Amino acid sequence: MRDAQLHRPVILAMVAVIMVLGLGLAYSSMGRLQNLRMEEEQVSLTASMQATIDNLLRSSETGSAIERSFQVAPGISEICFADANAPLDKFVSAELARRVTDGSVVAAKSGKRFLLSPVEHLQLNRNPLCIATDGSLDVRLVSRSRGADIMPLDQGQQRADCTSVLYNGAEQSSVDVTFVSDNYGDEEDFARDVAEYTLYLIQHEPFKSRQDVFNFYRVFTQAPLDCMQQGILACDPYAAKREAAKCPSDYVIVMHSRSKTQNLASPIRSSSRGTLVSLNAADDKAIFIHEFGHAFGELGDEYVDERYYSAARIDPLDYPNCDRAPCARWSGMNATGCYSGCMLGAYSRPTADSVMRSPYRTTDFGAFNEQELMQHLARYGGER
Amino acid sequence: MRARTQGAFHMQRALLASLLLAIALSSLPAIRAGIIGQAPDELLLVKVQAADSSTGGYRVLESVTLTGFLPDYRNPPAKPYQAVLRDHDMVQFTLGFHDPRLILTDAIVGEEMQGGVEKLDEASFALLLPTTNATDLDIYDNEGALVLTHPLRKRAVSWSWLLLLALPLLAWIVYAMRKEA
Repeated sequence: MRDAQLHRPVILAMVAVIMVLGLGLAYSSMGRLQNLRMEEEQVSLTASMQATIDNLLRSSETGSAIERSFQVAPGISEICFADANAPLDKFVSAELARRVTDGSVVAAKSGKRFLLSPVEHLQLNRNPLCIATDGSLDVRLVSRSRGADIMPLDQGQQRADCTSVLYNGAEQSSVDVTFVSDNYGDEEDFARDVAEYTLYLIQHEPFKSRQDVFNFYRVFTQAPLDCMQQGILACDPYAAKREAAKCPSDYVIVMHSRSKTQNLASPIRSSSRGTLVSLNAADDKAIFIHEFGHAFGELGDEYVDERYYSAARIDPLDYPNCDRAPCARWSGMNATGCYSGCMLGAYSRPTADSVMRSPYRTTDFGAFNEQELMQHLARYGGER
Repeated sequence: MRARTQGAFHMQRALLASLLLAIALSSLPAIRAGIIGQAPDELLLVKVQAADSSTGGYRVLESVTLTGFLPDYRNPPAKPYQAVLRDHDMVQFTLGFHDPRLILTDAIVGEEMQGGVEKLDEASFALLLPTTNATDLDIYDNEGALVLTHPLRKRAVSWSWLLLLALPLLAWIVYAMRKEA
């Protein structure tokens, strides 16, 4: 009995330890059970779809259509259909383009992951086709010669991770610019702004002459990008690149929606950090060209803001378009001079005015800056 | 005393049952049937804090693997920082990137530009890297000084080791129960 009393505190301690272990094990197993449930739902959905497709193809003439609503598990945000036997649009879903290598599949997106199940007799007009779901998948199935085409009943439900805005050629040899939305409620507003800014950029030299090396994409997201920082628009690079990686993105432009009235009362500055540009869409479009000059060509500001620069610990000579008089960097070059003021009053710039100095007045880079940008652009192109 | 002994006995039985349940749950097979293959373009996105050594230096804040497109890094800056993925001493991938603490801000206010370049005391930046079997990520500043070495391979967290711990405990409890009975 005395032995048992001596053992009791030890046993109680062991009980506590083992209960914690048991809870840990149970917790880790819950995730697996949830996956199992999701997979069962996926199997059920695929079976229903397959039966519907088979029935349509068996009993209907080519071109006939039916509309169906399928129940979808609550954790599923998207259902995609993909066919590896036809070209897959990698911008709709990079993951499906990578993973679907054989036959056709129904893919259910839960969180960031897809559960894939094989399905037969698909003949997709869009491949892959991704449709947003909210408890149900509402589709029209059309009988085609080699299978069933699927389309969402509501076109607004169609989803793509990445939308190609202007595609000129292979990503490896192109300047891939991806716009990411911030603070946009409506995807159409964002699409319109992106189209305008894209056209605006490639209408200006030197980008106009080399527009064939540019690809533009857009990613519409509601993810928080933490863009507002002390009156400056400077989005979190991690959040922004996480979204932008859905598209090829050598350069990321976060487009922040803001009303012009609000901006007039309380202006916020656009910014450039490395290859990430945070752009205030209420600003003049020329700011985009200015910021892209920073990001792509490493050009410095040609305006002078002594108050700002006095504390900035920056050497203007780190920027190719700033030099000390008599401006040896561009001396002898046509259409250049040595004009006082480039970041600081003590430095000089190559042209009297340029988009790097006063974008509200001109969108011209000037001869020297254009040459600099052309050298960067020469890194792209070649075999495409 | 008898009641207390019985209480301890019941507690031990409950403990034994919970332990057996935990073992049973942990032995459920991992469910992988719906997930096919590994991503050839699976990427590693790393968030790094950049600061002077006096204010914390460089450190990895978080990272995530995701599916996406790797930038081609064809247009590095003139004086780049360097990120290097290496497997022990073997370099697998390098990329050049801009000074992460530089920010250029601009606004048109009336007929005047305001803003400029600023070097922040500290800032976070993000690198998109390919997933390789690299052991470490090194970052060099634009003067070639190594400012960060971050190990990339981590041992997967597994509950299996708990079983090894639990089995001797189980044996000990059974032994103690028998002795008390």
